[in-house]
Amino acid sequence: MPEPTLNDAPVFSLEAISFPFGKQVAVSCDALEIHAGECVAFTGTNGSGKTTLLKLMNGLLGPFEGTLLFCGAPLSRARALRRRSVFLHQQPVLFTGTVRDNLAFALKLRGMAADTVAARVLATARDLGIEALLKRSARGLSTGETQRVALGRALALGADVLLLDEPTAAMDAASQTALREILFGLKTEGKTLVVSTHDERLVTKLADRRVVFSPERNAAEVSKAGVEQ
Amino acid sequence: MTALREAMALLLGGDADIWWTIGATLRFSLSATFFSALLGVPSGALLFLSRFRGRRIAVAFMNACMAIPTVVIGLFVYSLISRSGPLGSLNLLYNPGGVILGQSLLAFPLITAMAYTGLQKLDPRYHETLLTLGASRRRRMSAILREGRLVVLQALLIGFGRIIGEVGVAMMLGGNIHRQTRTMTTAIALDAGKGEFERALALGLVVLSLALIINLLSQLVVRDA
Repeated sequence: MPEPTLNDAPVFSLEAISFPFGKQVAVSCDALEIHAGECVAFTGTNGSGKTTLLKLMNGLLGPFEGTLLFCGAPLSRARALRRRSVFLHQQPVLFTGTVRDNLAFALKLRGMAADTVAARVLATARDLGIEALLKRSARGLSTGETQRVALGRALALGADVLLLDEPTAAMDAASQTALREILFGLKTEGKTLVVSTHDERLVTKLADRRVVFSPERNAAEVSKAGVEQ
Repeated sequence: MTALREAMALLLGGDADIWWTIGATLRFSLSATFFSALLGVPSGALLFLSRFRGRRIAVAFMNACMAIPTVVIGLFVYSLISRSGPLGSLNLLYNPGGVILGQSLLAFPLITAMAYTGLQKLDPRYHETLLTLGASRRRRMSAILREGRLVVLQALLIGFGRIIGEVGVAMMLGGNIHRQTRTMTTAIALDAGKGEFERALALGLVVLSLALIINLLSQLVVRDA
């Protein structure tokens, strides 16, 4: 079940967001609310600001104009942001070491005991079907395997809000199908998913709502007219 | 050709003074590289990881410091460690400690700037991943330095190369004292002045070989990075 939010506030609440890049607006968003357990798909052409907005929502970019709340608290003061929310790159990077090291990495950051880390790593690897990869070097994996390990790294932490940037891009059909199933499973578990994607099958299978990004002004049209239910 | 032959004979014949000077130079240079790395590598990483007002000025300052003539650094440290200076009681002047201190200061901005520049070439997704996973600044620094270990190694090699080839600091702070503070470069200056060209050439060949080795290693590191 998703973690309850402050006063049942939306997980994300965006209002009049505008993020400049030089003299241009890289992305803007009039209003958007995402509630716990929802899956929202960001769609639109390349360069329309989908990734930028995902990164803004994870505090990886800034400063920006407007209001962006995470569970009712301004992003800069939202302590739960780093505990609950993880952004995954289109092509995630794994750190030097084995797959096990990578899954354990973030858990060690939280100061967890070695036996807890080992148990969580194993459980996550089983859930994602990457148990056989645990001893392999993280550098020699396929795109699909890398994506699953990066997802595992986030899930092992207990993150329940996942911001995924084109998770099925550059994958073969079988890997895409496998990842869609994993993400569907996460949605069923009640995780909140915000997915930037060109993969219509993923949108159809997963998304409760779609936010369309317009290509003209490199801006997000997330006013009511821009959201196609 | 005769001078070159005699220089090689001095080296291969195991001339005690020459080999002592080579050993001392390596000792001083490695120590100075170590101390400047202790401060310079974390400083470079901090500049890379931090976003603070004046960061660009700090980077520009470090870059500018790389161009300071060695004798100016020598003069600055001299004023600190001379008898009447604030560190005069440490008795570092004309001792190996003084040379190492001066050379550490010489390499510090270079290692800082090279580490910073090298880390900037790292894939930005590493830093973003560390941030999104909630790593503290200290954890981010150690993880980034681990991922960027080859560019850090390159910065150290370049710093070592700068130190081993310098003459101003070693001359001003070491005083070129026989079997105490004499380095290859100060010995070359002395031997050439005395007309002992073969000895100077022998040491020059060693400095040149070391410079070539450092450059080759640096290029290998860059290729692998």
